[in-house]
Amino acid sequence: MIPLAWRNVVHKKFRTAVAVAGVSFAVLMIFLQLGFYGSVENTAHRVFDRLAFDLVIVSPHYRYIGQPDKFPRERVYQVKALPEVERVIPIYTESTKWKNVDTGAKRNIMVLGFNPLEYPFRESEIRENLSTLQKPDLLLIDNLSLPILGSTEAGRHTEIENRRVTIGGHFNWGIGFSADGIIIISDQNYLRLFPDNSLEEVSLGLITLKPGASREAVQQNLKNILSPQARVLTRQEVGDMDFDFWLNTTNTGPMFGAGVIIAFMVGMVVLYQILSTEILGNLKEYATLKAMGYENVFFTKVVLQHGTLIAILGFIPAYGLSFLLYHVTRVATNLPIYMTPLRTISVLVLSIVMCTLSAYLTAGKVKMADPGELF
Amino acid sequence: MGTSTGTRPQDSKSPPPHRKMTILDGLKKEPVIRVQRLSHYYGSGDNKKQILFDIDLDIRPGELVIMTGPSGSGKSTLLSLIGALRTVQEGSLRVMGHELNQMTPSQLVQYRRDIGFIFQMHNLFESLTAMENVKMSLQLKKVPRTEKRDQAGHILNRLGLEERIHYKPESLSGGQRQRVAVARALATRPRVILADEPTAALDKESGKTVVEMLRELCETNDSTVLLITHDNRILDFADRIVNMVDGRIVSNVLVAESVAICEFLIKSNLFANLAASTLTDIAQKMELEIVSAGKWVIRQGDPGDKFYLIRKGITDVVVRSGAETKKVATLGEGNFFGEAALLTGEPRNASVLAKEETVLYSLDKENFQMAIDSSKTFKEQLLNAFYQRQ
Amino acid sequence: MRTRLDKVPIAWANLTHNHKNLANALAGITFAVLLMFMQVGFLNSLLDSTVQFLKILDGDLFLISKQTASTSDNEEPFARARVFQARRFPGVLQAHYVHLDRKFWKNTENHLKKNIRVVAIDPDVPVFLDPEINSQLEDLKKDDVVLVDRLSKKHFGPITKGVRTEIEDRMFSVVGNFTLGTDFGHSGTVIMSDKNFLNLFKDEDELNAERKRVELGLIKIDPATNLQRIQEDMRKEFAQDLLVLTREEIIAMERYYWLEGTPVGFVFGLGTVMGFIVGTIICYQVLFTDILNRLQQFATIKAIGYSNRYLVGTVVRQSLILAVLGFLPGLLLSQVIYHIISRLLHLPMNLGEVQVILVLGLTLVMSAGSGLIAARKILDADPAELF
Repeated sequence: MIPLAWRNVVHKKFRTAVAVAGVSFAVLMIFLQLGFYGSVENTAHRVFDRLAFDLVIVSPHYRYIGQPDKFPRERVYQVKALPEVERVIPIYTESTKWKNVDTGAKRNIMVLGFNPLEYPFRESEIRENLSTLQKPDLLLIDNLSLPILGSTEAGRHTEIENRRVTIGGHFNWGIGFSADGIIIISDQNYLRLFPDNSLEEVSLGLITLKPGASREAVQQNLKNILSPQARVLTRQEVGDMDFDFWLNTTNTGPMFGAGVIIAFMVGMVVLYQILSTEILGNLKEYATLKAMGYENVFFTKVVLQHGTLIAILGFIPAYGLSFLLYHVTRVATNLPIYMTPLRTISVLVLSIVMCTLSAYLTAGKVKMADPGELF
Repeated sequence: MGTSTGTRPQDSKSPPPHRKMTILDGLKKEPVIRVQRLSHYYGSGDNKKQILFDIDLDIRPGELVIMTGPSGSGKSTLLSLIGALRTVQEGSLRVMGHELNQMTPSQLVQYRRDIGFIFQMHNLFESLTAMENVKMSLQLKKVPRTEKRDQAGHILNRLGLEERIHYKPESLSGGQRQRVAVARALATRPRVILADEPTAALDKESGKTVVEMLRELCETNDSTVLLITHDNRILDFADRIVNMVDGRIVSNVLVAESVAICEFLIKSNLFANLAASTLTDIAQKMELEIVSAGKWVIRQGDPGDKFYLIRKGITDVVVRSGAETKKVATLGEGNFFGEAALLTGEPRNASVLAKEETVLYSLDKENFQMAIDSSKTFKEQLLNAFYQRQ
Repeated sequence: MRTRLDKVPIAWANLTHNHKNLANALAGITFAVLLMFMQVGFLNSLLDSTVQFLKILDGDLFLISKQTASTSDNEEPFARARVFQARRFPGVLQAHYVHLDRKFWKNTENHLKKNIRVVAIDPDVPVFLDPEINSQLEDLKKDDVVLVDRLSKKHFGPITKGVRTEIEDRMFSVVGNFTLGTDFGHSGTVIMSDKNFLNLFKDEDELNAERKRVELGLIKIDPATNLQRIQEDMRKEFAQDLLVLTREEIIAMERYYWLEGTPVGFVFGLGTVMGFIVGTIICYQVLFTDILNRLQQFATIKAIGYSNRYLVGTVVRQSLILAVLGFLPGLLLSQVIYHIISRLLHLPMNLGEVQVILVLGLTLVMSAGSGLIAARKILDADPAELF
């Protein structure tokens, strides 16, 4: 069988290129907006992804990691008694201002404090700096803080809460929209920076369960014990709470969501328009096929193949450019924008479906007509 | 009754190169195309325009039919209806035994595969080579791969395109493209070929080749060809010429027949001096009649209504006087009878019996009268002949 | 002699002849235009919303701490004494201070606490340009009362007059509302007197410190005097710790902060740039393909014997008509969507005239450009080829 659709696409190079360009850019917009929206989702999970826990205790007024609303530490230690519980670690957070070491401009940052003797992180990169943390007024700073925080060279000094501090080391997190940057300090330094705070008031209580323990059962149990003075959440649940904050409390989440919707709307219409034009442009050929005695099935096949080819050819440059744009955005903002396999596949499938559906719908009218009408 | 005697030199046209279809060839056969009361309209409502008016047409297998007439006369529309490129609106169109307005979509698909359509615009697939364009029609007939290549190659070579079979239409001249279109249409040796100005873009040589190929298909494959053309060179090849004006068929001439009739008429003194055009007119106006063996063509005593020319067959002329019935003559191919009653106005003076199945051409009274009136000489000669016979 | 009127109808007739193709092409352009307007709309809402608050403040000059990068995201306090010092400058009619802070408001329905912007002023002094606020300043003198922005987000719960709730563990009553709107740093705003504001600080030391710290100083100048000179003088005087900005300057600074200094700004900025690139390319593609599809009509014009100039003119005219016809629904549709988003999020979403003209200009340029390039193809081609 002669591959008519393929040959048409290859032969009419200029025409195909124009259609592919249109499809490409429409898909690119979709990837871009999905990336932005994804960064909000990523932001929500970012900090928690770095912490090791099976369940976490938060205040009943917990809003998001930047506004956790502190609660008494004894709730955390209360939990220690349970047989299924391996370990509990209190985490202290605070929001404050970071002074750019060069310009003096102040930016909002998060502070995360913990007892260096109890390592709460999933990765070991901070373990290497534990001794640094124990020194007074030394801090670790996220390399992926906003560039506008200024120089984060080890050894540089700056002021936090009017107290002179020194950068002792780094880690690589990138916390997205939550703040312009994040620093990690020991609980003792936490007290030094925020003397009005107390170690009795914590932001998070991380719970690690013994192997084999049922997380659901323990969670239920703890809920019974601690409610309503505290909430007990799984990793997924606490991430969802943060995501909910971004989506429903701020304007950032919804606007990014709107951006995705717009990109899809425009994408669908544009893809339909491009494919429809392509099919209509081949009208004479389809009429000839009909006149020669090809059945509608053949004709449908050719049309669908044409749609699929255009979709795939358009997808590839869009995919490549998206990677580039994601990279540019990460470099400029340290926002956690990453391509995911799920997004890649969904957008590819969606493009193919939209293109073939548009081609099919346009072809529908042609199928009904007499070949004579089409000439 | 007169017999045809004498000879008369034929018209100085060079004889057509192939044997033409005569009425006798197609007599026993079902018409491959039968058009009955076919009308067609374009547009709707206030803009509705009628393009075909009550078309009746029979084409027999193996005929090469040429359709002529001014543009807008409906030729292309008729062709597209026969090719199932348009749906029949009014009337009946029966091709290869299929009633077109009763076919299901899947039947239409199969039907179209038996039709070879050569469009006015070449309608080639731009992205395929000449070879591949031809293969596109071969693959509908499930021709195996190597054969496809061979058959496509063969027909393209025949049309002088052997250097160009791997070229795409954009690299071919207008004439070459048209030849590819012809190759594509004819490669599967379809039973019905519909062609709209197939030689318009072609030079003498290529045009001749195309028509020869069509002719060949008619003769060896029993294919039927309907050809719209203004190309005079092709007229020689036609078995039948159909002339359409303003959506109607104004003349439908089986060429061989027309010639045969003229030849018969000329052989007699009666019509010898008539101009060729008058003879052709007479021939055109004559109607075909077939009488089975043992049946009477005319009966003594009946009013005279027609003039008869025997195309094929044997008849006895029988006169009855009183109780006696006597055979007075035997008439065969080329003889004519029946003019007496038309000239005198009296009833028939004899009966004519068909001894075997007889094919006759008849001319009605009105047309016979017109033919006489058109030529004084003819009239005189006719009367002479008539009186001679008395 | 062909008149101008002859020419347009051919282009128009060409276009309208095939309805389906026309609708397709128009849809493509409409949505490309929509994309551009939406992206620019997102950016506008970011930048316009953050200066809403500044715009209702009555000041010719603004005082802020040198370390304040943004009055809506990053307010740094400075000494209140500076505001009093400003009063002594010749030509200064008034100088007043504004406290800006964020406190927790308790939703009376679900008892959840949400962060809200607090604006604290001296109620004896009208510092706002909004007449509705000014008419309620008297009420603010009472103890423990606030005015609430009616466009604060719904998660604050009931905010109408009469509602009583906790702000930072202290009971307040709502005595009235005003209209402001949310931005990307705040989801709601309350206005209270500085006295009530200071009552939120329980600690004695904290209270005293807070009293002496303000975030914003508003200065009114005698119209007869030279604004620039006063600004210069103040700058020199306060060089150590303050910035002295005109209205335009502080608004510009605020917008710049969000655009250049935040991830959101970068995202919307990139979105706008990409939206424009993609939008114009799609416009071009739609128009170009449309012309290619009508090739036969143009070929006929050429074959009949019209000049090349006429042909190109027709092609370009056709493209421009198409562009304008697609532009208008795109603009309208964007306004509808702006309205929906604005109402849902209590966020301003507007289009500037310059931006409308810019998008229109781009669309027209794209259409003329694609017309010219397509015309080139037609001119180069043999008429016979096109048939």
